[in-house]
Amino acid sequence: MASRVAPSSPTVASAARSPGSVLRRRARRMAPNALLHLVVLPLAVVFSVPLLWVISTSLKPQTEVFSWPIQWIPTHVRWSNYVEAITRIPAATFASNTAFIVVVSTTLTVLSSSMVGYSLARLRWRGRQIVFAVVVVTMMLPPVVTIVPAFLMYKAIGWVDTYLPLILPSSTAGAAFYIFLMRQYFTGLPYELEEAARIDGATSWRIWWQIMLPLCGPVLATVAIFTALHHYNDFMWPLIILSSPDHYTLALGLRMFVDMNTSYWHLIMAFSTLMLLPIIALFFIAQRYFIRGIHLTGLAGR
Amino acid sequence: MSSARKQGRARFAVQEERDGWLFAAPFVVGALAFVVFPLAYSVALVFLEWDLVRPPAFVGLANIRKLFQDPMVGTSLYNTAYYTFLGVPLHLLVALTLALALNARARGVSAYRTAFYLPSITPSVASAVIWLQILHPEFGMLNDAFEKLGISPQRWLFEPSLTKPAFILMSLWSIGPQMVIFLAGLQAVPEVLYEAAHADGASAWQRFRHVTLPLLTPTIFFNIVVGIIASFQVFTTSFMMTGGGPQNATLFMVLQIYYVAFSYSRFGYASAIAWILFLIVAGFTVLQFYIGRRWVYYETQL
Amino acid sequence: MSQSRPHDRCSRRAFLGASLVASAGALIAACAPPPPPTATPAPAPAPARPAEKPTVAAAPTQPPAKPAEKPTAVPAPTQPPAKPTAAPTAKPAAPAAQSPAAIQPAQIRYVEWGWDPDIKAAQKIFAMFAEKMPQIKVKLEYWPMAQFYEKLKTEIAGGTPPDVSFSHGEQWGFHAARGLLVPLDEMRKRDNFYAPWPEELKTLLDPVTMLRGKVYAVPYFVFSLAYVYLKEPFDKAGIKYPTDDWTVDQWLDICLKLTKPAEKLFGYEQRFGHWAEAGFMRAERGEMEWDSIVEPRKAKWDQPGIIDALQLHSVDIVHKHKITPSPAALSAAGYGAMIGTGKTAMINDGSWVFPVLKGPDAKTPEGREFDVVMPPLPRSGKRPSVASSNGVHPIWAASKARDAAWELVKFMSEEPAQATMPPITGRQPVTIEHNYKYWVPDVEKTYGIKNAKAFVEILKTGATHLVGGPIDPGYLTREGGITEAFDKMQGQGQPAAQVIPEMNKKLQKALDDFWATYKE
Repeated sequence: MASRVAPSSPTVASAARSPGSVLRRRARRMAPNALLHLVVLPLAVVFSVPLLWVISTSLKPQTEVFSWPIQWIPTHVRWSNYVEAITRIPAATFASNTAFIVVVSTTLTVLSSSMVGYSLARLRWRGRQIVFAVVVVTMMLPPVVTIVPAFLMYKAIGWVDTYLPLILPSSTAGAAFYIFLMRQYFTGLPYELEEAARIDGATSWRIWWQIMLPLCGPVLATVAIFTALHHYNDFMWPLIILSSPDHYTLALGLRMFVDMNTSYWHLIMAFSTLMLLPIIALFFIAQRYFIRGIHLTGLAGR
Repeated sequence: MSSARKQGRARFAVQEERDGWLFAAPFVVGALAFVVFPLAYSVALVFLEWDLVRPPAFVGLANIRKLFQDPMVGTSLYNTAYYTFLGVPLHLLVALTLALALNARARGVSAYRTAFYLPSITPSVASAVIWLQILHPEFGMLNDAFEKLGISPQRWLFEPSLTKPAFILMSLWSIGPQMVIFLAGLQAVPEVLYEAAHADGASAWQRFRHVTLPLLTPTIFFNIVVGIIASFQVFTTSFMMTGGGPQNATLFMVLQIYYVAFSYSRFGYASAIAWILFLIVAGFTVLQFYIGRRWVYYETQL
Repeated sequence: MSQSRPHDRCSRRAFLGASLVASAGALIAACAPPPPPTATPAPAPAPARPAEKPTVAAAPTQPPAKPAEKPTAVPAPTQPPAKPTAAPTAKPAAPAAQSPAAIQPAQIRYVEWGWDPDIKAAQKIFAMFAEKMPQIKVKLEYWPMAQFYEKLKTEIAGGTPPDVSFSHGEQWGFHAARGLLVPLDEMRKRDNFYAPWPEELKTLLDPVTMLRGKVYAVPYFVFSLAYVYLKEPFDKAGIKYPTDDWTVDQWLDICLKLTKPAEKLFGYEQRFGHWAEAGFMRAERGEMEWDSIVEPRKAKWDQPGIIDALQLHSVDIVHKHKITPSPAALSAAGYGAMIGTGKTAMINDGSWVFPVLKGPDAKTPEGREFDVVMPPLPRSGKRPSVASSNGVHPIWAASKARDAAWELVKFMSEEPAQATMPPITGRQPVTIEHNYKYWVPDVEKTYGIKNAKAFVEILKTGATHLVGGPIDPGYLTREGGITEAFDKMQGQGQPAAQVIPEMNKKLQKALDDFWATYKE
């Protein structure tokens, strides 16, 4: 199968590193970049419309929420919507609860999914294929039908209204998506990387921790973002598990602006905007790893 | 293979069996602890009727028989298949194209990536109302744009034949995760290979075709498999926006399962539908893995 | 062709995951003030119901206002309520003896949905309740309205429903039929407690508090639908404001005059679904399947009066007269009314639309001047009326403190609770008298309207839009094809005479299917 792949012999292209070639390459890059902006910029604007609507609405009075034609800049910019949004519900409590859940879950998920993914991709052991099949299978049943049995189970062991059912299952068995993702990534890494270490007698732990993980920057960042976001926005499961308002998360808080026959959209949008801020920051930070990956990842020796 | 390598391999193989299980333990233990019971419960429910109030009662194959006579199940299966088989290829194509474009090291790429990613993390409460506003027949932004272009306005969410295309259109705004996964996958392609290919005089297309694409196949495979699984479980948009309407045009399978379970309190029957959905998804996934063996390139042998 | 091992320098990136996560966490945490100590969960399995301080615990250290009949040194016993000898309700003690001290100390778990004004009202009412009955502690829980009933059902499955919950009038029948709710008749009789079921609101309140002749819920607030109109479009067009005696023909005429397609101005705003127009169906032909307080067995939509009413109010005004924009179809998240934008002049809606027009406290400078009027009289001359979303309080049979729960729901349906709730929540109190006393003056003052009585008078002919008894209303609307039928009429303009008979058959089949497999 590997024969389908052309790059079997990477002739180290150190010759291409002369200053002259750098200039040439930069020039070569200019033209496609212009094209990139030309095509991508309008598309990015179109993609940003919903978000712009969120931000615009968050600054409007309620009467202008659905105004037509759409009014991007409100007649009276109401920053007070933000104040109202965080004072109408105990936002600080919800935020710290959410932070706790997100940080712990993300840490655990990143660790566990990279371990399991490594095992499924790089280690040979009996039962591996079965475990991998189970990983994929756990993604297929819609949680709608397991949510109540799961609730009963956690009720029986006294975990209801604690964070354990929100953190532990999702960072182990519930991490199937991330395990699969990690496994796919590991399978693509060059085999030779491990060989040398093995000959040196390195343990699997050492190989995983010191050789494999450093190469996984982009995918670890991806898993971290996805996990964090999942827990950040998850609604149904925390709703079922948590009862005390003291334990609620931001996603539950956001739904509290929905009254029975009407919704306070300006507040929902203000609260959504606030909720998006840390995510935007997180995404910008994580991106460093995507870009850096190009320089450091893989065989691109230094 | 050198003899040293063989020796190392042999020594390692002894530990490998044990390490494989140890590394997979987070998943295996988690699955045993958290998944087995709810899963088994939902299997049992296929043969039971349970309204959450009285103890489940055995009904034999009644739920399964009902399944084949229920027009709502047929409708929801059709809607789900329509959405999946038109939506998933489109998502893949757009996400891959965006990822390739945004893999460039150009100014502003970070901002672009964020712009394309953010819509997918906007809370569903917020995005539902945004889309309703965009697609509104009289006051919607999309029809406003159509009018300016001289196209007659459409009734989007009010016209059953247009609702699913509108949903697929909307779902393009949530391809952020797929794009990120592709971006992460692209980082795994060692730069040295590009340089080598370039030195060999390969054109941009050839570099894509013979370097990028083969090494990206594990990621593409992942996105196809997970994309189909996720698409078969589409729920939130129709739950939040249309409730399955108009005329059941957006009644997707998980939405119907949800209604049967939580609104009609027929958890046995809901489980039966869910397991049919499971079998369908599993069938497609097995097919994917079978076909995948021919086109997915893995560095390690599996 | 062996590769050199990755540089050691790289190993620091091994911490990538953790550091990334930490920074993300720090970011999120940075957005919030330091957490209260309750934020961290107990790592060890906690008891099913963590015994924590009740959110609304009065814990009064001074004796209650009334001289205590019972010598209680510290009136806050935190012992569990489960006295095995929980006074059997079958054997009432002294008739009409409503002595607060007779109630055993108890803790009650009360659940409602988490909309801020409702929470504040409940907290205030519970504080008053604590003064009256210090031995009863009320623990307030609030759940987001979205999927409120899903959580409730899950809690029932877990065997721990709350003692008292908020419920919409049409939502508890399912549970009552299955024996999950306490029939309240004996306690009503014992305490001679009938005030929150005023005779004049019988048609409104019976279907939402009774099942098969038994009372299962105590009303907390009512909601009626009337016509809310903006003054500005009327002023501009030189049309007089409508009065309570207007007819459907006059209404249609006004709407046609107010509709200006070029400016996208509409005389009327049709809400999505069936319930807002249900009043006209009822006006034309009184009896509907949900009228039978016992349970619906026969689909009754296939009546000429109903079809005519729906043809006008769900088909013609959208597709022929074009006096309304397409009805917004947001299902779970609640929806937004266009009338707030001034693009529609009138809407058949509840008083919840007031804050949409003027801001929650009528403080928005952009707010719109509006007033309200009774629904127009149809040709039959019968007043169309629907009261929807009535809030009631059932007591759950699993409660170990039924008597205490009963005291609470009684308290919430009477003065002073009924006087406290309207100004905070904007919701209408239960009786006509309380409406005139507490609600009308408040909304007239807050929103500057003159005819708030329309919302009160309409209660008298009020009926609820859909009650399924043991059947979940969602089953009737979806499997019975009601929603689908309205999609066809409102969305596509298919004639009611064609859609409704078809739907009636589907509804009948859904009802038959339900009863065929139903066991209690």
